[in-house]
Amino acid sequence: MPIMLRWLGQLRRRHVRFVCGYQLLFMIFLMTFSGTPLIAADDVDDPHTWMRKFCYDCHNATKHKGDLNLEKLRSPGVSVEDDHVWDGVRRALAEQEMPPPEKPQPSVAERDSGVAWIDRKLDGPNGDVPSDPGNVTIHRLTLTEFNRTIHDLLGVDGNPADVFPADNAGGSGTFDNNADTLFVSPMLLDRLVDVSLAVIEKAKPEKLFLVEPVKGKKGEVTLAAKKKALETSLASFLPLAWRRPVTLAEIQKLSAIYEKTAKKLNIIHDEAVKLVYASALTSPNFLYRIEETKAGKDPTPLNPYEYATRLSYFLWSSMPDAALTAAAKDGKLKEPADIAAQVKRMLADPKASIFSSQFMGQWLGTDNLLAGLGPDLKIIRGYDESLRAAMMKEPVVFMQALLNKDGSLVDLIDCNYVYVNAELARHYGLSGPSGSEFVRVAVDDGKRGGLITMAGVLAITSRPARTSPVIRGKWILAELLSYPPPPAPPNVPVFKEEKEGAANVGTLRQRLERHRIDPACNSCHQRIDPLGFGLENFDAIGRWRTVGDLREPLDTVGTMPSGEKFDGPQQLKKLLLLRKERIMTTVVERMLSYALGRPVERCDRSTVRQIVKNLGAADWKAQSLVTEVALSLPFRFKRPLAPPKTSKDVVKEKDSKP
Amino acid sequence: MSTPSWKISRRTMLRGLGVAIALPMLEAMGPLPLSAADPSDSGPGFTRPKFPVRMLMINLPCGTYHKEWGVDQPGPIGTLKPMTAPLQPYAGDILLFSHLMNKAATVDSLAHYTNEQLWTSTVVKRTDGADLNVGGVSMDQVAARCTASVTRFPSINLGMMKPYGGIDTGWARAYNNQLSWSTPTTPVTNEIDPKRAFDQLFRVPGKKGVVGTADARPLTVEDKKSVLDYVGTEATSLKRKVGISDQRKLDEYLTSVRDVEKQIEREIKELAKERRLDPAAARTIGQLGGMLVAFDGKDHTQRLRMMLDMMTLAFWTDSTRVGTFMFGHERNDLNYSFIPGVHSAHHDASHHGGGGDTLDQYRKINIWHAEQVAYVIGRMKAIKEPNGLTLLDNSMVFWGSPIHDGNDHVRENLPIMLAGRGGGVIKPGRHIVMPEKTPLANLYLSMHQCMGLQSSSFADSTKPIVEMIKA
Repeated sequence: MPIMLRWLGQLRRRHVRFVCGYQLLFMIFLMTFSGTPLIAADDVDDPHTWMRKFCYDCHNATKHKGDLNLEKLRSPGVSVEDDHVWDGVRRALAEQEMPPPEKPQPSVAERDSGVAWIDRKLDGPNGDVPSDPGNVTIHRLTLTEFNRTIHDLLGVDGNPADVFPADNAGGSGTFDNNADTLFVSPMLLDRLVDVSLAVIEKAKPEKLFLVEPVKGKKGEVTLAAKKKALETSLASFLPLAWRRPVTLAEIQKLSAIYEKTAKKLNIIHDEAVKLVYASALTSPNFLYRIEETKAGKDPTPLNPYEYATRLSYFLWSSMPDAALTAAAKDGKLKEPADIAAQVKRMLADPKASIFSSQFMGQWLGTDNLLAGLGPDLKIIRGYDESLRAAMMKEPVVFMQALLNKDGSLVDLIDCNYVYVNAELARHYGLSGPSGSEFVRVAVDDGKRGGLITMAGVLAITSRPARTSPVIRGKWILAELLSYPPPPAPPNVPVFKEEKEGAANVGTLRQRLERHRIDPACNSCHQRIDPLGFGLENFDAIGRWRTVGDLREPLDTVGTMPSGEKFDGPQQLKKLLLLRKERIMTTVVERMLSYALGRPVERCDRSTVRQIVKNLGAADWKAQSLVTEVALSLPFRFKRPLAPPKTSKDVVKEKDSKP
Repeated sequence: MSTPSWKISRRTMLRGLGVAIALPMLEAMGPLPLSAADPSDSGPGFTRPKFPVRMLMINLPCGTYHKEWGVDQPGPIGTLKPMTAPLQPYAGDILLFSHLMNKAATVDSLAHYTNEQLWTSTVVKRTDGADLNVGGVSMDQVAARCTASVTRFPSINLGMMKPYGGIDTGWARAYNNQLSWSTPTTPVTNEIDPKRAFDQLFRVPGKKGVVGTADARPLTVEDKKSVLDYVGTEATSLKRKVGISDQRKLDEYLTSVRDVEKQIEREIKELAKERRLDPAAARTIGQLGGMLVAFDGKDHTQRLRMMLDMMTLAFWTDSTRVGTFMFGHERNDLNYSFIPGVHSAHHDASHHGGGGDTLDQYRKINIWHAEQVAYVIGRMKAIKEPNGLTLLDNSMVFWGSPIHDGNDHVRENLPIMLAGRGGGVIKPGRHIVMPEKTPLANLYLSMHQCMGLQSSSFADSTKPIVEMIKA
């Protein structure tokens, strides 16, 4: 597929998953029943009119620059592939990345109407009102969630889930809690049975709520009495373990295991009881966060216990506490004010520290430093495990502080302070803190402050032995601007000079510039590499420097994809600040993805826009973001069970498959 | 050949480790039972093996540099080029192929890494996570289904890398984390911890693991079964309350419940057998157990070799006939500086540019991979089996990459090696040049037939490669 088309196309694919059947059904509905021919209504501001003026010159059937032919583009909703491209056109318009600076430019009004038209076409006429919560698959507890839940439920420390196969890591727009990639393999299930018993054996006795069987008149304890006692115990334990009220029938199914086991001669009472508790933890009711789905036309709200569970795993990666469960029981999780109060309370709880570390570590990719990615401890002088730990911790502490102080999320882009401990302060050439605690230190030269100048981010975007403007540029595009470039296409020809073995001569910048001579590479790398050059003042582990690897004076001049020039990180950050809304949109998308445990989809577009709008009105306050996500339609509602498909839908879907 | 002449009590084995292990009697090992429906030989020239044939699948991530890999001349293998030089001592035991191609990997040009279909030869669905579907069962799992009835484990799947996550160009990276798929939608997880792999392999139901960290009171078989029975019922009843994608997840859970139940049955069956063990195998198990107890988990190469030792033992003791080993996945960002002279990630070095320092590092990384493959070939060759052949002779060791060259990602003319004689049928020691774009699945079909599977096709195969058996 042509490169440009791929770039445009994958925007949607990466961040907005399509639900073809659903959307198509909607389109068909409109066309069939609304009585108004859909296309005719849009003739008023048909984008093809202005696209003829501004786009087709370069992107037509014969001269498809960037391998993109926009002339053949049909209306959104006609084919999924076209929709991907439409979204790319929208982005190029909104971010003023196209037409290129030297070509005639559309007026602001023309750009706005183009963007609005595409939004209307992609989201439907009422696109500003979120109406489809999307599909959230039931979550198997991640290994982190399993460990923390076991800790909160049973008072057992350690990491019992370590014996399970590792989960898919998070990154590139998703997190390790993405339900669709949380598998239950035979290996996991086999070990789960053993682990469940092990943690029950180690549990703090009071956490099991065991009650003594009632003795008979002669002091005897009958099997029936023991079973009864177990049922009483389970009535207290199970609602916690399964995060919802349980029925008597459910309790009795478990006590039946006791009865069967206890009848064996060589089993003592305690062991049979523990087996029952272990069964409760092996059950899908514990292992998965079960949410019921109801049939119907409209989205249905989660029940209060399901909602409390979502909120709790969102902010604590663990089960709800007593207060949250009580709120669910008392119907105190309905009003926005009640929910906001819970969010505030939960964020203030020490348990919420996991939220910042999971979210930041996986979004930024800094978690990967521990997995052997980024600079090499053995090669880079001054880089050791303790510095690495500090580098990984900085963004987490930064986010925690934003949440605790309800600071502005714009500080993620640029700000005049950092959180450092003594070691990191030394690394940054700052004075101040003397211990291992992270403290806030003011910086005023613009060299530090914000995500892209944090050592952890600069390190994870480096090669083992050197910096990489390509990875850093790609990181800014993908993780901040949500504009991830495609990977190099397959069958990239080997460059002529490389064939002669001369590829590695010259400075890094010179080598990359040679690389970009090839038009096949240039179409993407002209957007990627120049961003990274702006960060060349930072070495592979984020130390400030003024000369490159070959002792050459650094050239830190770069350009934004839209053409603005900058020199060095200070100016780069200022230009990124101009794209505040775009970057905040990324933050919203990532947090929504983390909260829901699924990638952000096309149906979330209006939700994301709404949150960004409300967040902007609230001065981009960090707590508002969490509250807005907790209040959003996809977080509070479930998509109803889809009506059975008609043969017509199936045909349509087939047509639209990429 | 060592003929077991005395019985070893299971309880006295691994005395130092205080464990009992269950192993089958070597002489009792038999080939796959013939299907009544098709008693004849399945492929042209491939005769049904008399002794069990084992299959080991190894991947080669991030391609090779063809100018430095294998040999150019067809026919008998002469001097191997640098990246395969460590295999020179086994030149007579290996086949090299040219012009095999995995056509499915070329269908979607966005499929960047392509390893998810290396062993399925099917077109993989592009998705960012929901509805993972590789389009078919991987060739090792097809074989495992057939051998499951005769060994303790249908397959042993080992690997070296933690799973990645996220989305890359519209593709869920969850695809890349394993090469084996037991159904088009169910990945087979690799065990990456050698201690847990050992305990799994040599455990006795109801007994504690040998070198693992499990500290639970082991459940009796009966208790474990009642837990499984209960949770299976729960999952089934939950299915009625949830959505479509949730039901798929609960089905996955239920399948795992049933798999574990079957596994327990198999283990009980194996335990009940009167068994004698090659004392050399017992000794090796004891040694490996001791090494694992002492292992601090740090040295990558040592961990890898213990994994390969375990694989060899799994075959030797006929605990399984199908093994897979994953060096890493294609987008391998792990730093390979544990190899002297290397300071890059494997994937970075694989874009070698045809010269200079990057190619130098890439060469070293490839040589290191070849050394590990040579190691396992050597181990297997040193073991004599009751039919008079070596374990290597009774096996097929596949080693190959889904791309032609790390630098250009071309998916034709893949670097593929096959070691062993498949029970004596295959005539190794040669470089076989196939017609251009020959389906890789033809090799997989041939391997299935060597194992005695009743198969006439696999994925996009057209016919078996008879050149393998004609010298």
